Amino acid sequence: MKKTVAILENVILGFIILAVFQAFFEDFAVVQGWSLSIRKLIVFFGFLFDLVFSIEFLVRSIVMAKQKKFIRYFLFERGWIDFFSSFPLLFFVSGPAVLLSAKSGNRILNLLKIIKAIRVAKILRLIRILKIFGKIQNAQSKMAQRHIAEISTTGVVAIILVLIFSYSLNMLSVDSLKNNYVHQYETLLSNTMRFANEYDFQTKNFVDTVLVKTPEVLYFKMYGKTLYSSLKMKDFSEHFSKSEYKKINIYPVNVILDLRSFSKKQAQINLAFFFAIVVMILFYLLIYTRIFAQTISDVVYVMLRGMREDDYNYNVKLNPIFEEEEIFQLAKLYNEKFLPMKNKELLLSKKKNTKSKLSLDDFMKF
Amino acid sequence: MAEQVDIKKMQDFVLSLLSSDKMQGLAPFAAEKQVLAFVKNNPQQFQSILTSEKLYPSMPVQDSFNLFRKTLTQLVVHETLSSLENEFLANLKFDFLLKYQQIYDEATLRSLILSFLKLLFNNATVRDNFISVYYLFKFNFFEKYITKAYQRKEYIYNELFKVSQHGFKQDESLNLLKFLSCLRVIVFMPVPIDSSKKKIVNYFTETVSPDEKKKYLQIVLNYLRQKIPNIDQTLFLLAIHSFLPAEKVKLEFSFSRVLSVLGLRAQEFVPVVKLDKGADTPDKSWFNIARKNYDLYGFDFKLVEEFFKIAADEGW
Repeated sequence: MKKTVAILENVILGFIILAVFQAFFEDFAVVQGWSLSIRKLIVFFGFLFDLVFSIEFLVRSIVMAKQKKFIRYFLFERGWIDFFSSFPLLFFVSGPAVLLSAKSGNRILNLLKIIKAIRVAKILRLIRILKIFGKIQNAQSKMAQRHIAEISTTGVVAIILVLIFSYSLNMLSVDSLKNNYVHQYETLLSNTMRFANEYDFQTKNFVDTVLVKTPEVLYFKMYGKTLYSSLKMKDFSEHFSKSEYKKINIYPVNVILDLRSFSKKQAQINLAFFFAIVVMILFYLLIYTRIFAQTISDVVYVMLRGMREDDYNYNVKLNPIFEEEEIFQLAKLYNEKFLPMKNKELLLSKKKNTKSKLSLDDFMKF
Repeated sequence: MAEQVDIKKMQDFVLSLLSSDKMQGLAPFAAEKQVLAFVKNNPQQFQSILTSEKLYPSMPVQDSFNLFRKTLTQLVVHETLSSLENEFLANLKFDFLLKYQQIYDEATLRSLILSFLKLLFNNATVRDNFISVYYLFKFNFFEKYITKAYQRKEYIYNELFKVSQHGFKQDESLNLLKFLSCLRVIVFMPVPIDSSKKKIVNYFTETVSPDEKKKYLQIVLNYLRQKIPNIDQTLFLLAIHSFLPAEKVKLEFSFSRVLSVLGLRAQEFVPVVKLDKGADTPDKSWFNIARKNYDLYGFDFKLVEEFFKIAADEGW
């Protein structure tokens, strides 16, 4: 049973790592302009991971509830991280996205609006990085493991809250920029068409030099005549999702605008925060863990062994830079008072260590 | 009498134990101690091993156990003597004897020391306490600490160079300490001290009157004189007095006081240690405790203090 649980835990760890990569590639694919089919595949994997983690949370909750430990699990054993990185994402992000890519029609358009409204939920995917902490066991110091996990959680949650707040107020969303741009182009186009009595030279010149040559214009048709087209229909369906282009029909003009630069900008912002969180956690893991170990957990570990084991009599290595700190004051007392006292007691009691390093296995090897 | 085949089988069995990973780096007598500790703590299991098909299913247990003890002792004694002969004593110089106006053939003296130790190794307590001597040689305790002490020219240097009244140079001090460390284990040898030879004591027997103690020391000195003749008695006394508390040792017996500290350090030395990250180095830790409990150990505080400083400075 224990072996099965251990295998399952390792499988989940594998899924977490894959899911973190999935979160990265979802935005990276947009920045790189990968084809729509690949991007849809990445979104589908996101859905799969969300489903797996939702099931994982459900199973853990049921098991813990049966043992009457659900509150403990949810509040103190990172159950809340499991929750926020599973169901909200499944219901509000990856589930609707998969549905959207599979179906079409007005119902889906309504769904799209809902997704936009709660897109901030996607940020919760970043919280999943924290799940890794629960899986990696530090055998030497439980204390170090918990403290590093908690400080990382605090940092990540702080960043996520700022992100949610910023997105809610459209501070980091490029949607308003995109809408403004489309609106300005429509206004310019309609004004041009309104004031142009006929397709005279001046109008033609303005249309050719300004409206058609705008970099975002993919297709421009006027009075049934195609003035510009930069793509084939096949390319179009392969590279553009519904939010990445805009069709404008103002008589006598039909225009299609390329809005991928806005999606790219949004994806770049998302990636920047993704990296901020990953780098922050890596720094905590690689740098702060070392500092914590050197100045707290290693010190405690040596003292603990010295108190538990008669024949463990190593001094704590004191760090002169931090000697005023309580932990090193304690370690100094341990070195100067406790160890000599323990040694004295052992000497006076004439207690001898009669344990052997050998085990039965060593005798059976012959 | 055990058959030759049985003896060979037992040798192979004991050798497999002594060469196990957990025995790596240990002095042969320390390895013997580990094996015997297991046997003592797990008599039933050990009995079933001895009577297993692989070993001696048809031999009486007591016989196979005796064969085991004998083989174990033979092998560890052989290993130790071989290290002494080929490694530890091979480079030992006896120039220090000139300070006592004595000239000796080095090869003869080495051979006498080996024979003397071979006799002593019949005793388990001597073997147990020779672990320190093995480590003193193997891990170059004298070379490390005495060389540094001579460079520092502080308390230890003063003790060895000046207080000892012989002006020993660094190498002479090193060699003398090595020589004394080999002799000093004699105090663990039990000796009959009454005429009926019923009362057998060693230096550390507590129920001994002062007269009996004197008698015991006289017997030991005579024994040393007999086994290693023509050596100044002062040298024997220097070795034996290394077990006395520092305040009871004659002022000029500084080598006894130094040997007392380094000898106990080596006796408690653990050769293979994976040091925990937050832990200080082994020697520094040991000397730190020793300087705090110097009175309990009977050490000269200033000596331990300087050894501590050397260990701290050198990261030992």
